[in-house]
Amino acid sequence: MNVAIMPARPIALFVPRFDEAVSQTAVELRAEISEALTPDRTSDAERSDAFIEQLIQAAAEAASRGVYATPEALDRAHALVSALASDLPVPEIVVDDDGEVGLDWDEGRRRVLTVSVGEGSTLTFASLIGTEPLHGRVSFTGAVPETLAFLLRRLYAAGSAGDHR
Amino acid sequence: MQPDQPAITADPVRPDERISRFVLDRGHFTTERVKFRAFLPPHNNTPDGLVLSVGRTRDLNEAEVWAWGDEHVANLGGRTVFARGDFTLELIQEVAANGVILGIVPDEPPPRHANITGWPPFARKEVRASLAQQLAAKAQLVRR
Repeated sequence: MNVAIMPARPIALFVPRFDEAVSQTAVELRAEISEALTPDRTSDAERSDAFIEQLIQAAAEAASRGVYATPEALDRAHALVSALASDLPVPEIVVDDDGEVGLDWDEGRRRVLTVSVGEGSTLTFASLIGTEPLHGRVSFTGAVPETLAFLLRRLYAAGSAGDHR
Repeated sequence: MQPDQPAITADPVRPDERISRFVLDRGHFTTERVKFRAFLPPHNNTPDGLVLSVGRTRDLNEAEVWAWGDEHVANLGGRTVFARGDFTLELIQEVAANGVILGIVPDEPPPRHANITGWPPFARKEVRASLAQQLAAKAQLVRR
């Protein structure tokens, strides 16, 4: 007596070890399958990881000179950068002498924005874009303050003039 | 080696004389410019308030300028001078934020030492940052 076991529904099997197809179609299909099976490492996740790494390095550097950022300030800095549009560059990070976390988007002699993040909800900022210096304070409670969003858009507007690094 | 420098008394800073801010941090300059953080005053809180230390380097040749920086800036903290930002009192006085205009006051010894004064107090961090950004925009980078 022979027994055959059939699945209730058709299943797809991908066994690259036995894949010997060499046609162009096979090559393309193999590439597509490989891409589909690759873990979805989004650019947002990579960006967040890169920022966290820089944050840790900045905190360690500050600690070496006796300055300590509070966990709250580090957390708020991370929250702010995470809330930004993913196409914006990750800022340079410095821990200031007062323990606040400084975030610098420094793209040229007259293309710079710095934001300082402390324990509270108030952020301080200063920018020089073109010939216009601006500075002030904004509140951050989770969403990117409109003023900062505006300044970042100006800083990274397509075709912005400014000296290269 | 002590450079042979012409004597300079603590006379008031002339509007057009060269003033140099020495850069000790590699991250504070690029190939083209000095970044604004090189111009932020540390939390030193002297009797004159917050001050930014600079050198009056007029009449010094390049070797003498670097020697001054090595002796009176870098050696104090066991660090290295990598570059400097040069400007004048005239340029500094073009910088303003919140009604604040900076000045330069001789502060000797050591000879040729001066301070940029007039910075807003600790609580006005954003104003200090704005002034530093404007200073950086006006400074001329000189790399060693």
